[in-house]
Amino acid sequence: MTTAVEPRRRLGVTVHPGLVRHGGVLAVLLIIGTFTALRSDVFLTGPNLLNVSRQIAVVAVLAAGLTLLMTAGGIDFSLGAIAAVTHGVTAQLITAGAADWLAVTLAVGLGALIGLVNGTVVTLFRVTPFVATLASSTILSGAALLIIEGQSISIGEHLAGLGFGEVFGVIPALVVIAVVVCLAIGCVMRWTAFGRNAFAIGGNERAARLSGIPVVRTKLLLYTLGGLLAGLGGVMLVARLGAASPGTGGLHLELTVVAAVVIGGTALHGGSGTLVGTILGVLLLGVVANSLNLLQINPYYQDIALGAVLMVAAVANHLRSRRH
Amino acid sequence: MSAFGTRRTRSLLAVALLAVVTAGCSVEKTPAGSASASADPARQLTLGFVNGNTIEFHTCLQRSIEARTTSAGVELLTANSAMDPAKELANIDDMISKQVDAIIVQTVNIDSLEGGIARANRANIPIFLTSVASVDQSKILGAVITDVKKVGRELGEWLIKDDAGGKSSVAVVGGAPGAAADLMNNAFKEAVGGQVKLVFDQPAFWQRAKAQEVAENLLQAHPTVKYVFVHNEDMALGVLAAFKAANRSDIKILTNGGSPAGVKAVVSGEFAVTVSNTPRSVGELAIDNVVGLLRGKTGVKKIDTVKDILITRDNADQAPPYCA
Repeated sequence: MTTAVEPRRRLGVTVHPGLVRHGGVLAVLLIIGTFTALRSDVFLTGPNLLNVSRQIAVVAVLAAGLTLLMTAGGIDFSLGAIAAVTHGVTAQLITAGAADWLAVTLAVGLGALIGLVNGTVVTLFRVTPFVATLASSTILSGAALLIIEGQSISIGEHLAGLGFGEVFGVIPALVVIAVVVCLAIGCVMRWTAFGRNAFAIGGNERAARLSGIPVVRTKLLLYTLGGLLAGLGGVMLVARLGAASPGTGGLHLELTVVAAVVIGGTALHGGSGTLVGTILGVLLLGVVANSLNLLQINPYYQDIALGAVLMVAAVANHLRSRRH
Repeated sequence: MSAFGTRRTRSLLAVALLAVVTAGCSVEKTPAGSASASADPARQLTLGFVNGNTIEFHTCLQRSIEARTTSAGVELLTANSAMDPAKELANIDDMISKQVDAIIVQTVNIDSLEGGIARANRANIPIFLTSVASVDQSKILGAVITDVKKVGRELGEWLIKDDAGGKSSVAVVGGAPGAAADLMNNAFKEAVGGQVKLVFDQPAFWQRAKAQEVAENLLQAHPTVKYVFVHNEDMALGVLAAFKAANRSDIKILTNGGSPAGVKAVVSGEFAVTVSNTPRSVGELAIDNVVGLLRGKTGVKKIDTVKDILITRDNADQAPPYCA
C-alpha cells in the first residue's frame, strides 16, 4: 500500500525531498563541474553546455524508458542493441529510397516490436529479464552487423533536420526530443495509473496482482515502450552521425544507459526510482566524458576516471538513500 | 512410450549433427600436418583465417581473403574474435584442432598474440599475420604488413609542407590506445616535430559516433585548430559531421584508409588527404604469399609490405579499390 501513497506525498512537498534524495549525485556532479570549470575556460560556456546536451540526448531517451521499466522490477539489456539495429535499418531504408518519415516510423515500430517480443519472453515464458534480454541483445548485435553488412552506410543529407537542426536557432532538435520524452515519462510515472502500477509491480508483484493490477499487460507495455524509445534512440543516432556504422550503439551504449539509471538511484530490484535521478545520472556521465576531453586526460586514465566516478556516485547514493 | 520415443529421436539427431559437424571439420586433411605441406604443390590446401573485429576494414579484409582463396582453389575456414584476445586464442586453438595448413591472424592485440603463436608452433602449424608483425619473426610463417609508421610519417610530412611554417594548431583524434594506433601516432608526432603546435590528442576507440563527440569537444577546447589527424576514415567522417554542424569547413582533415567514402570526401574537398591502404590489397597479398610460402615458391617475401599511396584531390582517381 505504501507504494500507492508515496507518489502523492512527494507531489505535496515539492523540491526538498528531491534535493535530499539526489544529494549524492548532485554533489559529485558539482565537484566535477567545478574542477573542470577551474581548469578549462570553455567548460561553462553556452556552446559547450549545448554540446554536452547534444551528446547525452540519445542516452537520456533510452534511460527514460529503462527507468520506468526498472521501477517495475524489470531490466532490459538489449536497448543498446535495439538502437544499433534500428539505426542500421533506418540507413538501409533511406538508401533504398524510402521516404524519411517512413524509414523513421518503421524503425521506431521495429524497436517497439522487439520490445514486445522481449516482454512476451519475460512474462509468458517467465524467463528472468536479465537472461532474456541478454540473449536478445546478443542476437540483435549480430543482426545489426548483418543489416549493414559490417560497413558504414551514409544517408547523405537525409534526416539532417533531426540530426543537426535547431529549435529557435539555439536548442538542438535532438535535445528537444530528449526533453519531450523525459517530460512525458516523468508525467507517466507521477500522475498516471499506469506509472503507479509500475511502482506497485516493482514493490511486490504478487500483492500488485492480488489487488487487481493488470501485471502482465503492464509489463508487456513497459517492455514495448522501452523498445520503442530504443528504436527512437537508434534513429537519433543515425541522424546525428549522418550514417550507420558498425560499433555504434550496442553494448557500449547499453552500459552507459544502465549506469546512468543506477547512478540516478533507481533500485535494481524495482519499486523505487525517479526520472530526475536518471537525468542527473545521464548528465553526470556526459559531463565526465566532456571534461576528460577538455582537460586532455591521458587515454589510459580515462576508464579509471569513469569507473571511479561511477563508484563514488553509487556509494554516495546508497548512503543518502539509507538515511531516508 | 512417446516421451521415450522423442528423447531417443533427439539423441539420434544429436549424434547425427555431431557426425555432420566432425565431418565438416576434417576437410580433406592428411594427418601428417604442415611439415609435408610444402612438398606436394598439387595438394589441396586448407587455410584458417582468424579475423579481429567486425568493422568495415575487417569485413573487407575477410571478403578479399575469401575471394582470393576461391580463385586460388584453396579451402578457407574463418572465425572472428570480436576484439577479444581470449576469444582470439580460442579461435586459434580451434583452427589447430581442425588441422589447417596455415592460420592467418588479423590480431586484436599484438601482445596477447604471443600465446597463440606458441600454441601453433607446438602443434607444428604455420601462422601468418596481417597488418602487424612486431613479434619474433622466426616463429611465424610470414606476414603482410601495412606500415603504419610510414603512414603517420607521410601524413606528418604532408602537414608540414601544407602548413609552410605557419606554426598552426594541430589535433589528433585517435583509435584505441595501444598497438597500431600508437605506432602511427608517434611517427606522426615525430614527423611534425616542433614545427606545429600539437594541442589535442584524444582517443575515439575506432567508433564514428565517439569520434563525432570528441571532435565537438575539441572545437570547444581549441576553436583555433587548423589540422586534425584522424586515425581512420570512418572516424574522420564522424569528425567531419561535427565540423559541418559547427559550420567549420576551414579545418583540414588528414586521415588513413582509402575507402570509397574516404576517397569521395577527398575528391569533394571534405578531407584534405588520406592514405590508401586497403584491406583488399592486404588480403590478396596475404593469400598469395601464404600459398607461395607453403608450396615453396621462390621469390615470395616472408615479411611483405602493402603498397600505400597518399591520396589528395590531384590523384584521387588513381586510388585502388578498397573492398573486394
